[in-house]
Amino acid sequence: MALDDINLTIRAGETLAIIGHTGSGKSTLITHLNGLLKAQSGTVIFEGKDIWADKKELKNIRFKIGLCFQYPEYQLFEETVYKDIAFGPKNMGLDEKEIDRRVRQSLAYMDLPESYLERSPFDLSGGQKRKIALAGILAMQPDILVLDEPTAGLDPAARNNLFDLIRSYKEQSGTTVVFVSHSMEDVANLADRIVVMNKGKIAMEGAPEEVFQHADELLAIGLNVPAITKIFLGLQKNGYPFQTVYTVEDAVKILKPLIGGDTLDA
Amino acid sequence: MRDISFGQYYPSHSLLHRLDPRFKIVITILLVVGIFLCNTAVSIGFAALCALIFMLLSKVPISTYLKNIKPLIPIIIFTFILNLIYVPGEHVIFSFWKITLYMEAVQTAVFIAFRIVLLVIITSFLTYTTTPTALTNAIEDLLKWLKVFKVDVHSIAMMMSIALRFIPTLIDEINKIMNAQKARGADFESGNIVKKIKAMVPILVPLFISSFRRAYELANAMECRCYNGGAGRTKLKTMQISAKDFVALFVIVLAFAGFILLNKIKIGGLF
Repeated sequence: MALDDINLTIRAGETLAIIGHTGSGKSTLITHLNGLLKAQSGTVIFEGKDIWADKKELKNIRFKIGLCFQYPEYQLFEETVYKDIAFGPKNMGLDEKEIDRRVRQSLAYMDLPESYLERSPFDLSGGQKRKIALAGILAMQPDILVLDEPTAGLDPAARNNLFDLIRSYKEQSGTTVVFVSHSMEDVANLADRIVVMNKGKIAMEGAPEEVFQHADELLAIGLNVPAITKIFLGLQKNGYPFQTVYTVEDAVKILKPLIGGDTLDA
Repeated sequence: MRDISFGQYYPSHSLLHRLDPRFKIVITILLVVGIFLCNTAVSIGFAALCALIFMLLSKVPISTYLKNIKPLIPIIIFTFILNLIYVPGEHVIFSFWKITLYMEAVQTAVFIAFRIVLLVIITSFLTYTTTPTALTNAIEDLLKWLKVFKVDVHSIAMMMSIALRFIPTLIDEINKIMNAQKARGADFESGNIVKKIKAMVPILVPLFISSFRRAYELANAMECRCYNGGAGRTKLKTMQISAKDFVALFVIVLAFAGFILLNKIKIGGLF
């Protein structure tokens, strides 16, 4: 069985991270969210209604729950960036003016200049293609944005850049974001809440500070905690009364007064 | 799309799996020709019996064979009906409006339906019991004589094995792309034919692009390992002919003779 006994509530406006070892069912779980897969038993309830209750409505659900798969750049197919981003909105049956507005807005969210609109998506670099594909999802203006390892295969700079863009998109639009990730640093930086998957079940659930407390359990199921957390847990073990931190910024905040200087910067 | 089993190998250690792949190809060809030569109920029944024995000997579940027949059911029904209507004959069963049903038509329709099913079973026996590598090695070996005409047999065999190898990969890829486009509201099911064909573009373009990408990557990887075609290339596993291969071939030649001889027996002078 791929998934078993999943009980998960996604709260409006939150950023939820799903972490888990390869094959733990993360991707299967998110493919259920917009009805691409149907659970053999159990329901997915969106806005109070079972998404499978009315099959005709299912298509509209997919516009509201925007799902961006791993390596989304491989789904690009149009001649121009503009047409590709417009694919989703066009399927929604929007008028030309609204489509145009959404295409330009999504491109702006991804911090790309409008000159890209008339270029072929296949002439762009890998990171840029990724952004175009993501813009194609944003153009549907989903209520929930679901991302499957959005930064897989990107270099560290492109990774940070993409996460910054997702964060600022979330702040501007107020969209609920659900993302799957392998990087504990990304999870600690971005998520309000973490769901830990193991062998098709939810192993842990909670705020990053709660989940990362259980470093031993995480390691046991093949996961990790952020490097900075590891350091602080080690310090605690050796008798230093620090609180546990999850981001480098927080660590700097704690350490700076102790050292008493401006030499430390995040 | 998930259930395409055509051209796939079913791992087992049955007698048929262990036969020399070159002999298996010859056996398959003999059986296919034999099935076309059968034109009485007795000889087709005998061919069906042979096919059944093959299925049991291969230790591949019969349901796996049936899975290969399933997609052909529409074609079988279609040819059955066409034959029923259009084959002329002398023994009229009944006549209605412009349609006359002859005994001969029933015979042809039933026989052809049987033949298609048997053909599928026989050819899937070959792919189920032979790994793609063994199969292409065997084809390469059997077509060696074409080299006299400057045909690059090795390259053809290599292309075939690569094509077979990538069938599951491409099916996987299609499923992924379809899901990604569905998530953007693409609709592959509704609408008329023109609309449905147009809806394929968002799948086919990414599929072609990724196929080319894979081809370049594979070509690079092969060159990195100094692949330069068939000249002077030796095999890790050389094919070895043993006594059981000749026995198997002998049995099939006997069966082939059986198909032809049993054609002489006609039930009711017609079947």
